Amino acid sequence: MPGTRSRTAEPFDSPDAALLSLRGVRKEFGRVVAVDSIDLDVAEGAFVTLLGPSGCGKTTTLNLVAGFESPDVGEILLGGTRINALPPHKRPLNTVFQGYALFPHLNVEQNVGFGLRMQRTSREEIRRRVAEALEKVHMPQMARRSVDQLSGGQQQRVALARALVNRPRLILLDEPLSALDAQLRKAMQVELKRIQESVGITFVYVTHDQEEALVMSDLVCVMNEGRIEQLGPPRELYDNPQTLFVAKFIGRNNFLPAQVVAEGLVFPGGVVVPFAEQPGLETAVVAVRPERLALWKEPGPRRLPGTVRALRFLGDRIEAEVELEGGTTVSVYANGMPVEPARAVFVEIPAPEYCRVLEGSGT
Amino acid sequence: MFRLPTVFGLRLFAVLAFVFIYAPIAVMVVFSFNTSAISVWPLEGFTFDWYVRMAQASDIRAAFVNSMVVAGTSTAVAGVLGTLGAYTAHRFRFVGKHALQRVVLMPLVVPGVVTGIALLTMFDRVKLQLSLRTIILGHVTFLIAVFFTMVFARLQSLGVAIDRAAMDLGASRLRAFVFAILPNLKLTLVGAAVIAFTLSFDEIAVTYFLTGTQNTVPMLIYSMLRTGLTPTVNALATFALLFSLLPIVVASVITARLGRDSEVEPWTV
Amino acid sequence: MSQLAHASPHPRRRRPRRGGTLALFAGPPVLWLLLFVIVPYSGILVFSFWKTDYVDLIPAFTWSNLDRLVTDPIVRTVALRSLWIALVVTAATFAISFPLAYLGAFHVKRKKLFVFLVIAPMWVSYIVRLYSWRLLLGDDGVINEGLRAVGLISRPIDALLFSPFAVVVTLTYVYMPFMFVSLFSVLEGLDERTLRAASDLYANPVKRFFAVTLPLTKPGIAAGVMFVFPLTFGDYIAPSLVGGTSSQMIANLIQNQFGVTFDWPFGAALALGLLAVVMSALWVLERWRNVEDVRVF
Repeated sequence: MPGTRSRTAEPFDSPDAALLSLRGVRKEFGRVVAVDSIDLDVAEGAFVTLLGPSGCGKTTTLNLVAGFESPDVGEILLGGTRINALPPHKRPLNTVFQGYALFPHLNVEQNVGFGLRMQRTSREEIRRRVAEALEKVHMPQMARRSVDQLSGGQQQRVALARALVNRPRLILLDEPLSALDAQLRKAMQVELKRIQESVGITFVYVTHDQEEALVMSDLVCVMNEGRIEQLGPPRELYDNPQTLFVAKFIGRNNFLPAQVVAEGLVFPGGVVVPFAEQPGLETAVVAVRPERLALWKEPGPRRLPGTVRALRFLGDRIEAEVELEGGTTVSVYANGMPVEPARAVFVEIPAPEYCRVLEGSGT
Repeated sequence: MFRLPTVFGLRLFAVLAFVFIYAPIAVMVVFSFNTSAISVWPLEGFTFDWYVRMAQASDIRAAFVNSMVVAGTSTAVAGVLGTLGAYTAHRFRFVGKHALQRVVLMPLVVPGVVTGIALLTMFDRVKLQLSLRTIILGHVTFLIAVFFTMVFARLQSLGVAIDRAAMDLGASRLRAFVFAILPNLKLTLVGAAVIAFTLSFDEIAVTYFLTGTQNTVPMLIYSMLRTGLTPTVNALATFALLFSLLPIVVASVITARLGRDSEVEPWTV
Repeated sequence: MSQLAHASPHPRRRRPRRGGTLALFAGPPVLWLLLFVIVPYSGILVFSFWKTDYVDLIPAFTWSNLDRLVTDPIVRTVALRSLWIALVVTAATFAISFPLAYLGAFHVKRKKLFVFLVIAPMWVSYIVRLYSWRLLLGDDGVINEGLRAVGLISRPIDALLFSPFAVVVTLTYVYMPFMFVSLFSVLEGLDERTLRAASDLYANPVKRFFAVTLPLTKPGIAAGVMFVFPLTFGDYIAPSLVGGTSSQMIANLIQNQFGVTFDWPFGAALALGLLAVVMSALWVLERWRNVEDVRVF
C-alpha cells in the first residue's frame, strides 16, 4: 500500500504565513476519486511543485484551486479567505496552461494585456505593464506579433507574461514545459525559477517529471492516487524517501528485497548486513542509489554475488546490469573496473546511511 | 455552476427550436392519414386511403421508378468520376490543379437555377432532347463534388505512403490504385454514395430545367402543388420523407458494422 | 558494393512517370467538367449577348439584355427583394442555429445524437419540407386554426401563406441545418483551455463570450453565411410555391424567361447578374474570414 494517509504539511513555522491552504479537499468524478482528502499549506513566495504520475490528482488539484472544478468536500483558502464559492474569474490568481492556451485571434500584446483589459485598466497602464512583463520574460520586441508565428518556447513565455502582468499573489502552472524539447526545457526551468525568485510570486507547479521538480522547487509534494505521499524539500525527498512509491519515483534507485533478522538484514545471496533495528517489519525493501553500490571481483563483507547481464555506455561511465541471486536486478556503475557480460561479480552494499529501508516485499 | 440560468434559457430555446424543426413534418405525416380531402384541422378520421391511391396512381409509380433510375445512375457515374478526380488531385502535381478543385465545386456553390439554365441552353444548342438522360447529366455534374470532397479527405488521412509502398513492391500506379487504395475507400464510398443518392433523389432546382416528359418524384410533387392540392400529396410527401431517411438508417447500420472507420458519418458532410 | 551508404539530396516531388497514367486518371473527370461545367457556364455569358424572336435563339451581339438588367425597374425591385429576403433568412438561420449549436457544443453529453436530431430533417426532400409549411400556414392551416381555437384571432391571418413572410420562414427552415453544422463544428472544436484562460484572466461569462468565444467562431459564421446566402438568393422554388404573386425573386424571373416568356438571352443575362451578386458576396465573406483554414483541400 503506497504511503500513509496524507499529512498536514506546514513547511514554515507559522501556519498564518500560508498563502494557499487546502483543508480536507476531496473531489470525485463518478466513481473515480481524483483527490482524496488532501491537506496542504503553501507559504507566500514559495515554489511548490505537485509531482506525480498521470492520474495522481495533481492537475485536478490545480483545477480546484483555480476554480474550474469545485471540491466535493473541504475548503480552499487563499490568504486566509475561503474561496470555494468564487468563480474562476473572480479569484486573484492566474494560470499558465498546458499548451499555453493563447488566444489565436489576438496578438502578443493583446494576449498579455487581456487580464488587465478585463479589469478595466487604462490603456496607457496596460501598455506600460505589458511592456514590463514582456521584458521580464525576455521578449521585448514581440508585442505586435501574431501568436501563430511564435515558436513553442516563445509561446510559453507569452503565456507566462500573460499571468505575471496581473501581479497575482499566486500563479498556477500546469506542466507548462511538457511540449518543449529537452534542451529548451532545461533552459526554461532555470528561467522560470529565476523569474519566480525575482518577482517573489508564489508558484504552484504541476509536473510528472521528477528531475524538473527537483531542479526548480523549494518544496516538492509527491502525489499518488489522489493522496500526498510525501512533502518536503528536494534534498530530503531524494535522500530520505518515506515510502516505496516516493523512492521509486524520485531519482534512480535499486530495490533490494531483504529479510529482517536480529542481526540486521539478509540480502539476496544470503549475505547478512548489520543494520539498525527495524521495528515491526519482517520483510523490507532497501532502496540504494546506483552510484552508492560498488562492483568487485572478489567476495567480501556486505558484497552480494551476481552475474553481469548487460552493459550500457552512458558517455561518462559504464552502467552494468547485474542479476543477483533470486532474480533481482541492480544497476551499478563500473568505474574503471573492466567488465563483460556473463562475468561473475560482487555488488557491495554501502553503509546503512546510504540505504533507505522501506516497508514492502519483493520489488 | 455559475451559469445555470443561461443554460436553462438555452435549453428552453432548444425545445422551441425543435418544435420548429419537427412540427411541419409531423403535421404532414398526421394529415396523410386524415380521411378529409381538405387538409384542415382538426382531423376527421384515420385512413390509409391516400396511400392506397398513391400506390395505384400510375404517374406516381412511374415517377418513383424514374427517380430511382436517375439517382442510381447518377451516383454510379459521379462516384467513378469523383474518385478518379480526387485521386488525381491528391497524388499528382500538374498545372491547373487548383483550378480543377474550384471547377469541381462550382455546381455546388452556384445556385441551382443557374446550373439548370446553363445546361438547358447547351442541350438546346446541340439539339439534345430533354429526358431522363439530361437529368442524369445534370445530376452527375454536381454529385461529382460530393465524391470528390469525401474521397479527397480520405486520401489525405491515408497518406501517400500506401500506394508508394505498393509501387515499391512492384505494382504499377494503376494496380496500386486498384489493389491498395480502393479497398481503403470502401467506407468512404458507401457514405458518399448514400449522400449522393439522396441528393439526387430529392433534387428539384436543377432538375426542373432538364425534365422532359418523364417526371421524378420531386418534379411530380412540384407540379401537383402548382396545379392544385390533392391530399394524395400528403401521402406521397410522407412516403418520400421516409424514403429519404432510409439511406441514413442503412448507412448507420453499415458504418456500425464496419466499426473502425468512424470518420464517415453521412449526416456530418 | 563500394559504399555502404550514400547520401542523396532531398527526394524530389513525385512526378508522373508517364503522362499516360495521369491521362487515365485525370481524363474522364476533366473531360466531364469541361463539357458540363465550363462550357455551359461560359455559354451563359455568350447567350446573354444574343437575341431571340421568341421561337429561336439568334446568335448576335447586343447589349440590350445586359442593359435591361440595369435599367428595367422590375428587375431592380425583384433584385432588391431577393437581397432583402436573403439577408433576413441568413440572419434568422443564424439566430436559431447559434444558441442551438452553443448548447450542443458545451452543454450536451451525447453530441452526435444531438446533431443528428437537429439536422435529420435535412435529409428530407427540399420540396417536401417546403410543402409541409403550406399545411401550417394556410388560411385553414394548423396555425390559423390553432390561434382561432384559442381565441386570439377571429379571422385567419392570410398573410401567413403566399407572402414574402412565407418565403422567409420556409427558406429559413430549409437552410438552417447548413448554418447549424458550420457553427457547431467550429464551436465544438474550440479548445476548452483557451476559454478557461479567459476566465482565469478575470473575464466573466458575458465578457468571455464576446471577447473570446464569438471571435473564435468567426470561421464558422463565415462558412454558414457562405452557404445560406447564395442558396437563398438564388432560390425560385419557395417563392413559386408559397410566395404568391408578391414575392417573386430573381430566380423566378429567370424561371419565367425559360418558360412562358421564352426570352432565353435575357434569362441568361439575369443569371449573370445573379452570379455576379453571389460571387461578390462570397469574395467579401472570404476576405472577412481572413483566410483562416480556408483551404477546403
